[in-house]
Amino acid sequence: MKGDYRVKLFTSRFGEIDIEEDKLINFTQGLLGFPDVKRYIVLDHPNNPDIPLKWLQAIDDPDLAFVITDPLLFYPDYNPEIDEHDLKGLNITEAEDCGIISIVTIPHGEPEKMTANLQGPVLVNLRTREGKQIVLESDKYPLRYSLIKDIPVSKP
Amino acid sequence: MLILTRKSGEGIRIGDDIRIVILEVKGNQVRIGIDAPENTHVHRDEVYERIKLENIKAASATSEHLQKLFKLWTKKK
Repeated sequence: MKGDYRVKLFTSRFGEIDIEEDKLINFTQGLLGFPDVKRYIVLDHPNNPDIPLKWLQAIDDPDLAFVITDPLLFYPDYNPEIDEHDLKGLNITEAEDCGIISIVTIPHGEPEKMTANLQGPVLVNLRTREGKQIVLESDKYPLRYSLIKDIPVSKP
Repeated sequence: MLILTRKSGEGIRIGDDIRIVILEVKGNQVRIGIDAPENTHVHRDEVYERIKLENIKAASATSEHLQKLFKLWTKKK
Protein backbone atom coordinates (compact mmCIF):
# COMPACT_ATOMS: atom_id res chain seq x y z
CA MET A 1 0.00 0.00 0.00
CA LYS A 2 3.00 2.29 -0.49
CA GLY A 3 2.15 5.85 -1.33
CA ASP A 4 -1.58 5.20 -1.13
CA TYR A 5 -2.04 7.06 2.07
CA ARG A 6 -1.80 10.80 1.89
CA VAL A 7 -2.20 13.34 4.64
CA LYS A 8 -2.69 17.04 4.35
CA LEU A 9 -0.90 19.16 6.86
CA PHE A 10 -1.15 22.88 7.44
CA THR A 11 2.29 24.08 8.49
CA SER A 12 3.15 27.52 9.81
CA ARG A 13 6.11 27.87 7.44
CA PHE A 14 4.93 26.30 4.21
CA GLY A 15 1.15 26.49 4.35
CA GLU A 16 -0.70 23.38 3.30
CA ILE A 17 1.45 20.44 2.25
CA ASP A 18 0.62 16.99 0.95
CA ILE A 19 2.39 14.13 2.62
CA GLU A 20 2.80 10.62 1.33
CA GLU A 21 2.99 8.19 4.18
CA ASP A 22 6.00 6.33 2.78
CA LYS A 23 8.03 9.56 2.88
CA LEU A 24 7.69 9.90 6.63
CA ILE A 25 10.62 9.31 8.95
CA ASN A 26 9.73 7.82 12.33
CA PHE A 27 11.74 8.81 15.38
CA THR A 28 10.51 6.53 18.14
CA GLN A 29 12.39 8.60 20.71
CA GLY A 30 11.86 11.96 19.04
CA LEU A 31 14.74 14.42 18.82
CA LEU A 32 16.53 15.67 21.94
CA GLY A 33 14.30 18.26 23.57
CA PHE A 34 11.30 17.12 21.50
CA PRO A 35 10.61 13.59 22.77
CA ASP A 36 6.91 13.63 21.90
CA VAL A 37 7.30 14.57 18.26
CA LYS A 38 7.88 11.30 16.46
CA ARG A 39 7.10 11.79 12.77
CA TYR A 40 8.91 14.07 10.35
CA ILE A 41 9.20 14.62 6.64
CA VAL A 42 12.04 16.15 4.61
CA LEU A 43 10.99 19.11 2.45
CA ASP A 44 12.84 21.23 -0.11
CA HIS A 45 12.84 24.93 0.55
CA PRO A 46 10.17 26.48 -1.69
CA ASN A 47 11.74 28.25 -4.73
CA ASN A 48 15.28 27.22 -3.82
CA PRO A 49 15.65 23.47 -4.20
CA ASP A 50 19.27 23.81 -5.39
CA ILE A 51 20.68 25.03 -2.10
CA PRO A 52 22.09 22.24 0.08
CA LEU A 53 19.67 22.95 2.90
CA LYS A 54 16.34 21.26 3.45
CA TRP A 55 13.69 21.27 6.12
CA LEU A 56 12.87 18.50 8.54
CA GLN A 57 9.21 19.26 9.13
CA ALA A 58 7.41 17.69 12.07
CA ILE A 59 4.09 16.05 11.25
CA ASP A 60 2.79 15.91 14.78
CA ASP A 61 3.56 19.58 15.40
CA PRO A 62 3.00 21.76 12.31
CA ASP A 63 4.91 24.66 13.89
CA LEU A 64 8.07 22.63 14.40
CA ALA A 65 10.69 22.38 11.66
CA PHE A 66 14.48 22.25 11.51
CA VAL A 67 16.83 23.32 8.77
CA ILE A 68 19.00 20.33 7.90
CA THR A 69 21.93 19.56 5.65
CA ASP A 70 24.14 16.74 4.44
CA PRO A 71 27.25 17.17 6.65
CA LEU A 72 29.48 15.48 4.07
CA LEU A 73 29.00 18.40 1.70
CA PHE A 74 30.68 20.70 4.18
CA TYR A 75 32.90 18.27 6.02
CA PRO A 76 33.94 15.51 3.61
CA ASP A 77 35.93 13.64 6.29
CA TYR A 78 32.99 13.51 8.69
CA ASN A 79 32.90 9.95 9.91
CA PRO A 80 31.41 9.75 13.40
CA GLU A 81 31.75 6.55 15.33
CA ILE A 82 28.27 5.13 15.78
CA ASP A 83 27.56 2.65 18.55
CA GLU A 84 26.65 -0.85 17.47
CA HIS A 85 23.41 -0.72 19.44
CA ASP A 86 22.33 2.53 17.78
CA LEU A 87 22.69 0.85 14.39
CA LYS A 88 20.89 -2.22 15.70
CA GLY A 89 18.13 -0.06 17.14
CA LEU A 90 17.53 1.40 13.69
CA ASN A 91 17.81 -2.03 12.02
CA ILE A 92 20.71 -0.76 9.93
CA THR A 93 22.62 -3.74 8.57
CA GLU A 94 24.09 -2.38 5.34
CA ALA A 95 26.15 0.80 5.04
CA GLU A 96 24.02 2.02 2.14
CA ASP A 97 20.91 1.96 4.35
CA CYS A 98 22.44 4.52 6.66
CA GLY A 99 21.76 8.20 6.01
CA ILE A 100 23.22 10.97 8.12
CA ILE A 101 21.75 14.43 8.59
CA SER A 102 22.96 17.46 10.50
CA ILE A 103 20.61 19.95 12.09
CA VAL A 104 21.47 23.54 11.20
CA THR A 105 21.24 26.48 13.59
CA ILE A 106 20.69 29.93 12.10
CA PRO A 107 21.13 32.63 14.73
CA HIS A 108 18.47 35.37 14.62
CA GLY A 109 19.58 38.28 12.48
CA GLU A 110 22.94 36.66 11.74
CA PRO A 111 22.38 34.02 9.08
CA GLU A 112 26.04 34.23 8.09
CA LYS A 113 26.83 32.64 11.42
CA MET A 114 24.86 29.51 10.69
CA THR A 115 26.31 26.28 11.99
CA ALA A 116 25.68 22.56 11.66
CA ASN A 117 25.48 20.30 14.69
CA LEU A 118 28.10 17.62 14.09
CA GLN A 119 28.06 16.35 17.67
CA GLY A 120 24.41 15.31 17.58
CA PRO A 121 23.89 13.86 14.10
CA VAL A 122 20.57 12.38 13.00
CA LEU A 123 20.80 8.86 11.67
CA VAL A 124 18.17 7.54 9.29
CA ASN A 125 17.62 4.03 8.02
CA LEU A 126 16.85 4.91 4.41
CA ARG A 127 15.17 1.57 3.82
CA THR A 128 12.79 1.46 6.78
CA ARG A 129 12.70 5.24 7.38
CA GLU A 130 13.44 4.99 11.09
CA GLY A 131 15.49 7.80 12.57
CA LYS A 132 17.35 8.67 15.72
CA GLN A 133 19.47 11.53 16.99
CA ILE A 134 22.82 10.28 18.23
CA VAL A 135 24.85 11.86 21.03
CA LEU A 136 28.57 11.63 20.27
CA GLU A 137 30.45 11.50 23.55
CA SER A 138 33.73 12.60 22.04
CA ASP A 139 34.40 16.26 21.29
CA LYS A 140 36.00 15.37 17.98
CA TYR A 141 33.14 16.93 16.03
CA PRO A 142 31.84 20.32 17.11
CA LEU A 143 28.34 21.18 18.24
CA ARG A 144 28.57 24.29 16.04
CA TYR A 145 30.46 23.82 12.83
CA SER A 146 30.44 26.98 10.74
CA LEU A 147 28.93 26.42 7.30
CA ILE A 148 29.80 29.77 5.80
CA LYS A 149 33.34 30.37 6.89
CA ASP A 150 34.42 32.81 4.24
CA ILE A 151 31.42 35.11 3.99
CA PRO A 152 32.30 38.35 5.72
CA VAL A 153 29.90 39.36 8.47
CA SER A 154 27.56 41.93 6.96
CA LYS A 155 27.63 45.37 8.52
CA PRO A 156 24.41 47.36 8.94
CA MET B 1 16.76 13.79 44.63
CA LEU B 2 18.11 10.80 46.51
CA ILE B 3 21.55 11.56 47.94
CA LEU B 4 23.94 8.80 49.01
CA THR B 5 27.50 8.95 50.29
CA ARG B 6 29.83 6.39 48.73
CA LYS B 7 33.53 5.63 49.04
CA SER B 8 35.92 4.64 46.31
CA GLY B 9 35.19 1.04 45.33
CA GLU B 10 31.60 1.18 46.50
CA GLY B 11 28.64 1.09 44.16
CA ILE B 12 25.00 1.83 43.58
CA ARG B 13 22.32 -0.31 41.95
CA ILE B 14 19.54 1.28 39.96
CA GLY B 15 16.81 -1.23 39.27
CA ASP B 16 17.86 -4.74 38.39
CA ASP B 17 20.30 -4.06 35.62
CA ILE B 18 22.14 -0.80 36.18
CA ARG B 19 25.19 -0.73 38.42
CA ILE B 20 27.34 2.30 39.10
CA VAL B 21 30.71 2.01 40.83
CA ILE B 22 32.90 4.79 42.19
CA LEU B 23 36.32 3.83 40.86
CA GLU B 24 38.48 6.67 42.05
CA VAL B 25 38.19 9.98 43.84
CA LYS B 26 40.96 12.45 43.20
CA GLY B 27 40.63 16.08 44.24
CA ASN B 28 37.41 17.33 42.64
CA GLN B 29 37.29 14.55 40.05
CA VAL B 30 35.45 11.28 40.39
CA ARG B 31 35.88 8.32 38.05
CA ILE B 32 32.71 6.33 37.69
CA GLY B 33 32.13 2.93 36.13
CA ILE B 34 28.69 2.14 34.73
CA ASP B 35 27.23 -1.23 33.85
CA ALA B 36 23.98 -0.84 31.97
CA PRO B 37 22.03 -2.79 29.36
CA GLU B 38 22.87 -2.06 25.72
CA ASN B 39 19.71 -0.11 25.09
CA THR B 40 20.28 2.23 28.03
CA HIS B 41 22.13 5.29 26.83
CA VAL B 42 24.66 6.81 29.14
CA HIS B 43 25.84 10.32 28.33
CA ARG B 44 27.72 13.03 30.09
CA ASP B 45 25.00 15.39 31.27
CA GLU B 46 26.50 18.51 29.71
CA VAL B 47 26.90 16.92 26.26
CA TYR B 48 23.29 15.74 26.25
CA GLU B 49 22.06 19.12 27.49
CA ARG B 50 24.14 21.03 24.92
CA ILE B 51 22.67 19.09 22.03
CA LYS B 52 19.17 19.46 23.41
CA LEU B 53 19.57 23.25 23.75
CA GLU B 54 21.06 23.47 20.26
CA ASN B 55 18.00 21.64 18.88
CA ILE B 56 15.71 24.09 20.62
CA LYS B 57 17.68 26.99 19.15
CA ALA B 58 17.68 25.40 15.68
CA ALA B 59 13.90 24.94 15.83
CA SER B 60 13.39 28.71 15.78
CA ALA B 61 14.63 29.08 12.19
CA THR B 62 12.14 30.73 9.87
CA SER B 63 11.78 30.79 6.10
CA GLU B 64 12.93 34.43 6.18
CA HIS B 65 16.21 33.35 7.78
CA LEU B 66 16.79 30.94 4.96
CA GLN B 67 15.81 33.51 2.36
CA LYS B 68 18.49 35.85 3.75
CA LEU B 69 20.97 33.01 3.59
CA PHE B 70 20.22 32.35 -0.04
CA LYS B 71 21.04 35.98 -0.79
CA LEU B 72 24.40 35.64 0.97
CA TRP B 73 25.04 32.43 -0.89
CA THR B 74 24.28 33.92 -4.29
CA LYS B 75 26.48 36.90 -3.53
CA LYS B 76 29.30 34.57 -2.64
CA LYS B 77 29.06 32.62 -5.88
